[in-house]
Amino acid sequence: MSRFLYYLIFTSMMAIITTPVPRILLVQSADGAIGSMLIGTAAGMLFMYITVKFFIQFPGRDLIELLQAYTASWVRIPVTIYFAFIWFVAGAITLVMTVFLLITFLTPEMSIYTITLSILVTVFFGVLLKSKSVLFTLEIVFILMVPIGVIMFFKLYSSSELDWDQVSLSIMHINQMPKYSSLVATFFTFLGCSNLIIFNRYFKEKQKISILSLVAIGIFGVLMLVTSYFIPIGLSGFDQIDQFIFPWTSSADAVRMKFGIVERVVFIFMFLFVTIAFVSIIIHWHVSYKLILSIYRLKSLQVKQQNLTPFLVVLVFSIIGLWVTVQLTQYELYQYTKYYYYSLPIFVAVFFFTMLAIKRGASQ
Amino acid sequence: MTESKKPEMPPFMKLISEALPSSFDVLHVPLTLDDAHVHLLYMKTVVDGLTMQQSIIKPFYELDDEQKYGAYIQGLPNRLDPPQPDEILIMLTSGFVLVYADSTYSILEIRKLGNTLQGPTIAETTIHGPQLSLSEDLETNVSIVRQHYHQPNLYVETQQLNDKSNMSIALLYDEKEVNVDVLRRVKEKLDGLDEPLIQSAGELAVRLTSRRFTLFPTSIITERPDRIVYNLTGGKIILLVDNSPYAIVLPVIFFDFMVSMEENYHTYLISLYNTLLGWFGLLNCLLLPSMYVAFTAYSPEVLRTELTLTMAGSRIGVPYPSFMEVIIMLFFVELLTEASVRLPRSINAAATTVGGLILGTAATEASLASNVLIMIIAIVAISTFVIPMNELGFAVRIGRLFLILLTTLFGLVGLISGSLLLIIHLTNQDSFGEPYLRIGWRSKRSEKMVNSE
Repeated sequence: MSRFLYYLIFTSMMAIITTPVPRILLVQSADGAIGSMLIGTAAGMLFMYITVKFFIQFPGRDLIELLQAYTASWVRIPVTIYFAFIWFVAGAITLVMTVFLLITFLTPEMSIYTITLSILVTVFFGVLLKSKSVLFTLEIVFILMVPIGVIMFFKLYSSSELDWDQVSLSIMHINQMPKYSSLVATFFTFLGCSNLIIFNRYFKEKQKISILSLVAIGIFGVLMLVTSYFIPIGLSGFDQIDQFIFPWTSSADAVRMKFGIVERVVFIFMFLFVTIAFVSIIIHWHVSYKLILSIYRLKSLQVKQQNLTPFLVVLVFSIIGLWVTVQLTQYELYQYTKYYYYSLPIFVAVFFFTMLAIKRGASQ
Repeated sequence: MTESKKPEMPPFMKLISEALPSSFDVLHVPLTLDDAHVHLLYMKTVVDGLTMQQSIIKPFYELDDEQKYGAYIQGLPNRLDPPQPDEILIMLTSGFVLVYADSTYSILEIRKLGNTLQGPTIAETTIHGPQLSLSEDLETNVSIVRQHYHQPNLYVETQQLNDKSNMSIALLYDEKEVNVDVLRRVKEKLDGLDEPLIQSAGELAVRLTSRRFTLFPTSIITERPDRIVYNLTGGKIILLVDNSPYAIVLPVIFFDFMVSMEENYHTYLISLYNTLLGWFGLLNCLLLPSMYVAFTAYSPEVLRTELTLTMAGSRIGVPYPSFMEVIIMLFFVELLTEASVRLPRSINAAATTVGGLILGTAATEASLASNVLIMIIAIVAISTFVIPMNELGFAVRIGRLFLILLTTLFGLVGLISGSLLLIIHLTNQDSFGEPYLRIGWRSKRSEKMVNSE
């Protein structure tokens, strides 16, 4: 597998900290979250295996191209629009959550418009990049963040405030029936590979998926899930953990670096996760933007040699993002995100249906 | 020009000489001995008089026979068959001599070489590397490169720019290593150049980039022969320009700018340490001023309490917000840097002392800037000089202002956002088709998995 695929998968795993996933899991901590996480992980790995296996058969071709080649347009257009919508919402959730996180922890006095704009400025240009450049940006950011991630894991797991008894207490609830919302939230963690629908275009060499890479991805995913689920419990205690709005960040604030220039380690973590969130938004919206452009380009926006439709699409994205951020409350974000995750099985069904259709078209 | 005593100028030469302006240095010299007649047409100021005397005029009188002399001219190694008249005109202005002997025309290259002296390296100094830079003469420079790089696959292609200067340029590359696509692109760019006047390597490098508003340079300008050879072995293309002591290296990636040649002359750990120092300097110089703005004006709680108090305490009495303070001081340091470049060496020290020491102290005593900021600005100014390539230093100075702007508007998130934007700008750029910023791992195998469009 290409290293860029790992980056895509790992980034979407790390980005769950800046989505409501930890909260959805922790709300059900006494109610079957662990069981759901186990099943969700298995389902996610399976989904990943099938998706990667599918795209390996078509090196250098993305979903747009495949749909155009092998399916009728009554399949292609609705599917593309649906995927564009799904990806846009995924990016928007990360955006809103990141803004809420920033306004709560970093700059409470700043206007929500200003904070959102500060993110959208970069995202705007990031989305407009060539897909290849998006991958390069992703790689550089990912590698820059590795040292911080290592510090983070080291600090979190070695901190004296982390109470392993509470973690054990939460593991006692493993026998509860798994719950749907936790299951799909966990499943969402493993969806990074589905970005292949656009980025597969740049994976031109024949690749193979080995057991080792699957194990590596599985371990990383479990590690991220464990970090986002057990660390808050260990730091804040099991009983009241479902009361937090930002369970992860609030709990991580318990850790401090005694001799560091930055004493509250949570700021270093926030730096890490906000940066990852930026990249995650860029990737999601980039996929969505490419899908939309594959359907329609406004001819009236042709100015000299440049078509301005891409700018328009991203501008619309940004305006909707800004509007949604300002409108939503924390509670609504949490509720709507849950609904979004609830709908993921439909997404999987459509995804597999499309794959089947393409396969059938290709074999004919 | 022609006097009545002189023998009649042959018709073709007459055509050429009429097309030339009647300036003092255009000379038509007829040589006559008994029956033998030879005509020379050249420009005195660009032709090497001594060589001409030795290799053209003296043999004529020694051989004493027009046929023999004609054969002699035919056998000279620097002889060319005369091309089209308009090309001959350009050749004459660059030091060629048109010879008419034994009823054939020959064009001989007897150029007066320009500044063939190799000066000491100024822009990129190293302690252990070669101490001499390129000269200002194209052929000497090609020979310098050849002497550093004894390989038969070193190709040298020369051509002339189609602007008013008609400058010769040489394209050097290692035929085995070079990327053919890039080579083709560079040649297309060179042929498609549409500029009235190009005078130096730097100017040519700027004209070769297609994007007008780009912050980071897409080619390296270097004066060091060892860097040229280092890049040749890496499959890069070198452009040498006549009358310029600098060579253009292309295509480049961002990491090339962070290589100091010094690093190749030390042991692994020392050069690793030097490289890290360079990167640390780059980050310092980009981020430190904006971090000061972010931490004093937006998010003081991020730093540990003691540090925040120290910074706040040092800012007591400063009458304006921290971004004003930073911008004023930074502007002042930029002025100082520019001044020290422009000034003659002898006054240089005085300007730096007055500017740096006295004004810095005075600014803090008058509480127009905090002590912490003065320190930061000093660190930033020093860090700028740690960056190995000068051009990157300029780009970083502008990028820094951009980061300060975003931080002033949006705080710490603005800083993160701005840094990402810089990365995005860099990854979006390409240098002659090569991605500008990407991490090239040692193994080339995985690199191929993301192919270029």
